[in-house]
Amino acid sequence: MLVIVSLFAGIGLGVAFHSAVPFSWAPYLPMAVMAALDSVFGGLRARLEGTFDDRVFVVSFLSNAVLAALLVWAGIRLGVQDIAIAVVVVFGVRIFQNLAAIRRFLFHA
Amino acid sequence: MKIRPETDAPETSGRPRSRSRGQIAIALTLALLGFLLATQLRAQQGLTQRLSIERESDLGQILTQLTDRSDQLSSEIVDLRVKLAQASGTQAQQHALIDDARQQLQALQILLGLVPVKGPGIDMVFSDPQGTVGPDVFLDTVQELRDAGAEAIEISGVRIVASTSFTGSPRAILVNGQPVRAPYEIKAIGQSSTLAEAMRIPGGVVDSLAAHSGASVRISEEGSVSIQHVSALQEFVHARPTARR
Repeated sequence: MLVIVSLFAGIGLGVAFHSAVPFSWAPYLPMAVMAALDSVFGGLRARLEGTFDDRVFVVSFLSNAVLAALLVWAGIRLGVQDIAIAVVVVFGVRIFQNLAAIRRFLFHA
Repeated sequence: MKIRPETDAPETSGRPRSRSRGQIAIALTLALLGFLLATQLRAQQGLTQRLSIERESDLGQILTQLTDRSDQLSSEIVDLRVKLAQASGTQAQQHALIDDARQQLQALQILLGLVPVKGPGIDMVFSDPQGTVGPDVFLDTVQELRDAGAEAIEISGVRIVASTSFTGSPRAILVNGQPVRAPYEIKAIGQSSTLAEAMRIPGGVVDSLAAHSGASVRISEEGSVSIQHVSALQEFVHARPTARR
């Protein structure tokens, strides 16, 4: 229950203070969000499979988000802006895999 | 996540402190996720509206297009400025021409006696009870008045212009073919003192009238003489203008 409430509280904060994020973050924030989503679905999968660990979840969430943003930042510095696509593909595939695992677990199909 | 307490309860009941800490960490993490999501969605909306998610090359293209358009419009502004300057120059010229033409027209209208005029001048009355004054006297008078700078002349209701003639004989004077009777009233517009002086010079109009028996002249200088009669515009049948050299 607490996690649901805090999720909505975070959304509320984001809606209220969306302008608090600098404009120059534009290329990095979506990657961080992709990584965060991947971590959350991964956590949900682990929870369903009974291998969930608080520490792993929190650390992987934060490190994935930061690393994804850093990767894009490095790509822009190196002149390979399209690295964002690689990040999107990787996290997209992983999110799909996690969702597929969750589906299999829930519906046994 | 709702099922968490059910599955986790037996496992973590032994260490509640760690469990609640883990819960809080997860809650904070998810709050961060919510914050990131909401922020990103809102930012994306704004960016889409501002074209800011365009790729750099697209932006470059848009910039080039806008620069081209801006250049085009700038040159258009210059063109239009030039045209405006030309047009206003032409207008000023036209105004000057029209003013010139209007002044010329006015002068010609006065000269041809087409309009009533008013101004300083003299008013003379020739009395000729014995009928001895002939048309030559009038011709001389007009000559003298013109010499003295008269700008408009009228004799007994007939406007004197370039084509006016004096014919007939004493008692039956014809001015431009129109009979006039004594006493003759002559009005002239010009510098009144000069005109009066011209009439009185030795051997002038006054003297020559005095030579005719019974004739006399009364001259009065007026601040404002009004010449109301107008002459008909002469139609030119034979004379044609030729190119000025």
